[in-house]
Amino acid sequence: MPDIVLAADNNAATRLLHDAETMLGTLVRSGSGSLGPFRADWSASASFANGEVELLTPNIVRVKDCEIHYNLSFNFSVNLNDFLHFCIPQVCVELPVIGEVCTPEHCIDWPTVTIPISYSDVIKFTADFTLNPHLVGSTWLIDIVIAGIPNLQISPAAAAIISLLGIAIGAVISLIPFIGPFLGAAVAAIVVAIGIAGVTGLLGPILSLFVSGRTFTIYRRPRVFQVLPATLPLDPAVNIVLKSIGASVKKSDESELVIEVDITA
Amino acid sequence: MNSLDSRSLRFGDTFTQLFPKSGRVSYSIDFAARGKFRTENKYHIEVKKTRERTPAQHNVVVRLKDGVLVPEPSSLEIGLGDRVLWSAADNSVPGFTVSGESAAGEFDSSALSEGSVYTHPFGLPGDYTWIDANGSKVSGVVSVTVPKLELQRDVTAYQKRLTTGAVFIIDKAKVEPSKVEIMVGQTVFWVIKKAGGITITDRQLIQQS
Repeated sequence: MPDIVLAADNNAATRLLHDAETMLGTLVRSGSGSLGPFRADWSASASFANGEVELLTPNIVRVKDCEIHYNLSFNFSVNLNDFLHFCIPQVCVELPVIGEVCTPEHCIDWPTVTIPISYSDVIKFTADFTLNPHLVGSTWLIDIVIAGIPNLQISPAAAAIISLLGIAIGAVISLIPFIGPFLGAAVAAIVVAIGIAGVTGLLGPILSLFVSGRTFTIYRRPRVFQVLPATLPLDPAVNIVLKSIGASVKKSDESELVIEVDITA
Repeated sequence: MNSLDSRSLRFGDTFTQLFPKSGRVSYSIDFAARGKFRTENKYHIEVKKTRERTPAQHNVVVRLKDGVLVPEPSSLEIGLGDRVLWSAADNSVPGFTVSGESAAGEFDSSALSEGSVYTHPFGLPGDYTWIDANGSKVSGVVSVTVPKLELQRDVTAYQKRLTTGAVFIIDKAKVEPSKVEIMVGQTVFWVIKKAGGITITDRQLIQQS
C-alpha cells in the first residue's frame, strides 16, 4: 500500500504537460540532407506548446494536437550551367571608316549560386506516450515518452516552401548578367528539379528529429526532502526519503493519472 | 560584372584597330588594373602593301597563361587597311588593355582614337549613361530592356535580334546617335572616326570611385 497517492485528471494532466513543454524550452539541431538533386545544409529550432491530454488505461497518455513551433534555415548550391545554355552570337556591323567588324560568338559560363531559405511554421501532431518514472541522481522524475513516430502532416509546409524557393532563387539569380530573358525558365526548372518530394524529403526527417523519442518531464521531486528544518544543535532536521515512485492511469469515475509514493523517514 | 568600361576589356568586349599604313606594328597586352604600366613583352603585326582588295578582319584571342596575358596568334601578317580585333578567350581572363605603335601612330584600347572600335554586350537592364573618363564632353545613353519570351516566336525574334548591333559614331565632340535602345544580350559598337584618346565608361563607375 503506497504511503502517498496523487491523482490528476485529464485537465490537470494537461496543465502538467504544458508546464513540461515550457520547461523543455527551445531545441536546436543542424545537419545536411537531400533537397531533391541538391545537398542542403540546414539548422532548425523547435519548441512544443499546447495539446490536450487524454488518459487511457493502463499506461497511455494520449496527447492530442500538440504543436511544434519550428524555424528552419537551409541553403543549397546550384550550378546554373546544369540548367542554362546561352551564347551571344556573332554580330557583324558595317562601320564608317573601318569597314565591316564582326564580334566573335561567346558563350556564357553561368556561376554556381547559393540559395538561402528561412521558414517558420507550426505543425500539430497527436501521439501516445507511456509513463516512465525513474530516478536520476537524487531526483525522481516522471516522464512521458512518445511511443513510435507520429505521422506529421507536412504537405502544406512543403507547398509553402516550394513557393518560397521560387522567390528566393529568383532574387539571387536575377542579378546575374544575361540571365534576364531566361529568369523565369531557370527558376521553374530548378523548382521542378527539387519538387514537393524534394522538400518533403528534407523537412520530414528534420521535424522527425525533434519528435522521435520525445520525452516530457511532467513531475519531478527530490528523493530526499526536508519536512522540518533543524532548530537546535540537538534537534536535527526531519527528512522524508521517497523510496519509490510509480505512475499509471487508473479509471474510477474518470481516468486519472495516479502517482504512488513509498516513503521512509 | 559586365561593367561598361573600355579601359578594361573583359570577356565579351572587343577592341578593333584599323591599320591604314604599311609597316611593323609593335604592341603589348597589359592588365588593366596596372593602369598605364606597359610590359616589355611586345608582339608584332606586319602590315603589308597589297593590291586592291577588300580589307579583312583578323581576330586575336587573349588568354591568361601562367599569370601572363598572351595573344593568339602572337604574330600576324595583314594587308593594308585590314583591321585586327582583340577579345578575351574566356571568363578567366582579367580586364586587359591593348596598346602599341604603328606607322599611323599610337593606339590604345584604354584611350580610343581614330580607327578604333570598342564593343560591349549588355547583360543587365537599365539606362546606362556613358561618358569619357578622360574628361572630354562625349557621352551617350544605352537603354537596355528585358524581352518577354513567352512564345516560341518571341524566342525566335529575340535570337534574331541578338545578331544585330547598335552603333555610336564618335567624331570629335559629336556623338551620333545620342541614345540607342537594345535588349539584354545585344552588343553596342562605338566607332571612333576622330577623337583624341577617349574612354567609354559608365558614368556610375566614375561616380562610385
